[in-house]
Amino acid sequence: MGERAPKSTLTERVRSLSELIEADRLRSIGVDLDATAMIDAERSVSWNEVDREVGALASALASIGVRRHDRVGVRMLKSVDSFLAVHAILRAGGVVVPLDPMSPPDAGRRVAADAHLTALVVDARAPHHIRFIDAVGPTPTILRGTATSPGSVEAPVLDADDVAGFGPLTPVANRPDDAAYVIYTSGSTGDPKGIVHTHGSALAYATAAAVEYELTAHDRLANFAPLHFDQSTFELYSAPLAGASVAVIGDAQLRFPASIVDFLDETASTVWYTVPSLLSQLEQRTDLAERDLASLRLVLYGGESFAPDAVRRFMAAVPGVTLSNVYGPAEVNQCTRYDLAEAPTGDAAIPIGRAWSAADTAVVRIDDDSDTVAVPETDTAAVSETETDGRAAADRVGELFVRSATAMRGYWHRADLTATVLVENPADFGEVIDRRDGRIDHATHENSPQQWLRTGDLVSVGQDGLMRFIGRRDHQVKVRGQRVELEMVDTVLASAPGVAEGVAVVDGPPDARSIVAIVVRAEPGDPPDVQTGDVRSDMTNDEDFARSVREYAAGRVPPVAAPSAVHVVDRLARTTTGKVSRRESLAAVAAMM
Amino acid sequence: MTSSDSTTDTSSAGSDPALARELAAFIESEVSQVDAPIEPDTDLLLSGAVDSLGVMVIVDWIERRQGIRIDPGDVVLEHFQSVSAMLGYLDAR
Repeated sequence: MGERAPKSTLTERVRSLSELIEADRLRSIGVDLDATAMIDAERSVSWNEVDREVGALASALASIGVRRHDRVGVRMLKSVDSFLAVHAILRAGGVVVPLDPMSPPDAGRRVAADAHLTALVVDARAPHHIRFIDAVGPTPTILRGTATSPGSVEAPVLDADDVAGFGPLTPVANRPDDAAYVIYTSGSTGDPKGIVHTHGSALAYATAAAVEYELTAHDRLANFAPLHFDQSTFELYSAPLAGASVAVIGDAQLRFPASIVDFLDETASTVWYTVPSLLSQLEQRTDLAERDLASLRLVLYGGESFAPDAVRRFMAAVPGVTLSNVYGPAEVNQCTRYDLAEAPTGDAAIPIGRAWSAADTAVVRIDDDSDTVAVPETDTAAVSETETDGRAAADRVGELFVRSATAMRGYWHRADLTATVLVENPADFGEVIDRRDGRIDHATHENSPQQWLRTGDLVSVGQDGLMRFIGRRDHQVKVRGQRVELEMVDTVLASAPGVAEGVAVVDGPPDARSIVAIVVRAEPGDPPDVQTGDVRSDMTNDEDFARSVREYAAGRVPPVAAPSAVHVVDRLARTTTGKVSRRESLAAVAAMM
Repeated sequence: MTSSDSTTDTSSAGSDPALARELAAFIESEVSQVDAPIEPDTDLLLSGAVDSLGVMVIVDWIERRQGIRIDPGDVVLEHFQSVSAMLGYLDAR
């Protein structure tokens, strides 16, 4: 153990993710196989134990029919067990499809149907797991953990005792261009959209992150992100690549900032990749400044912007920690980096930085931008502060394109959609106003990327060469770091009994945002929707009505997209062309309160 | 561990049964995001009933109902996982 392994050593012999936890490779980079590899609030396992448990689970998966290329759904709470399940699916040659264990069973069913799952690994402690398995239909299932509520399912099931009887499995040899995992987001229509990463693209990200952040076998990475949130690939793959261990923060622990601080302390975590909203909660609701956290050296944040004022407070509370902003859509995992060497002084947005080593970036002023409906993340004052001339600022804003070996292969069986975001030449879309190349020479790289990803994100380029996030070209927003398509929530609101029309907006300060619904009630004479009996549309009280709409939506969308509040109004604000204005509708509600 | 002691007798849920009933009723009607009864040992977090904002609402309700101030460092999973755990914590403090 000890010195940072150069990149060539890290990636030597690694052709697929299933090789990351092979004993010989780990030994060759100086890992003690009896040392702790993964730890959560309940247990800790060594690398040897990881190898044994992953082997048994992989054999069990093979016994229920999982072969190379087969998609396997994993619906598990965050735990050591969930990490073992992911590595077992990979060892069996399968493709990992993480499903949100807190989402309504119907949302999981639609993802399962889209991905054509061969098998499931399901956590019996997660809510609605029986309803989920039944909703997916008869699919061979491995049940992990002990159920808190009784129930039985139709599907063939292997439980913990069955799995314990299996021996090791020789890892299935995957090729770099085989699919490794699919991260689902909900598209604007509400249909699930699967981002397919290959063993090659996942390894390119894992390697770049391990090298950029100087991970060693001495590091312990605290895991915040659930498996279905792409940030988790850092702990799933970069950690074992570097021989670093992982401390998994449980789902229930995550709701208690004081529990998180205790856990970071107890596990002596050295690196933590998280989201700004959680860092703000830690700063506001715990004795963070009084805590030692001596082991913590680096905090990475991503997924959303971090207000400069909140950044200052957080940095003051943990002066010994380096804070770094990570930017990149799930389609490439990461593409820029910005280290905060010192606390920001003004109110200007924190930059997303420059292209990191594994990415080339191009900022393109889009020729045909008539459909641009940018949702500003920062007010224009903050942007223009970085530029002295207002006109120059406008000229230096464009859409960000990225070329990287970390890029996805495409959207799962959606060639049409893939073709709209993976493109040959950014210059085809407008004037390239900024172009930066990462340090990896793609011309000589074996996994050389040809195409560029259109991110849909608008950025400004400062005279300092740093990029700042301005907003989206569509109606996608981020809540607690996770993507939410507002149009998808609109559709659900419109289907709620008693609702004539509704819009979803994002509200709150950058580090405490949530989805808010604004709805108009149907005329009293409108017939109630009798098909969904759980919501009555004969309620006279707006407050009861708002609650019924909130519950209706919460049962149909992922937790991050569920409205935290529902406002009932007489009409929605509209633009001069008659389109509903989200911003004006929200302003009208705010003015009423 | 006070929280596990209090779970051995789920019918009493701590030394203040009235508080236990009111707390469960409050969570059920004002906080819970799922349509299910809140029992003393219902896991409020993993059942999906309570999110992180809900935790703060519950802390606030207890502080006002009991006229006490709960130290932010005490707002941890062990003390707030269930109504029983909350009563156990309040008994022990």
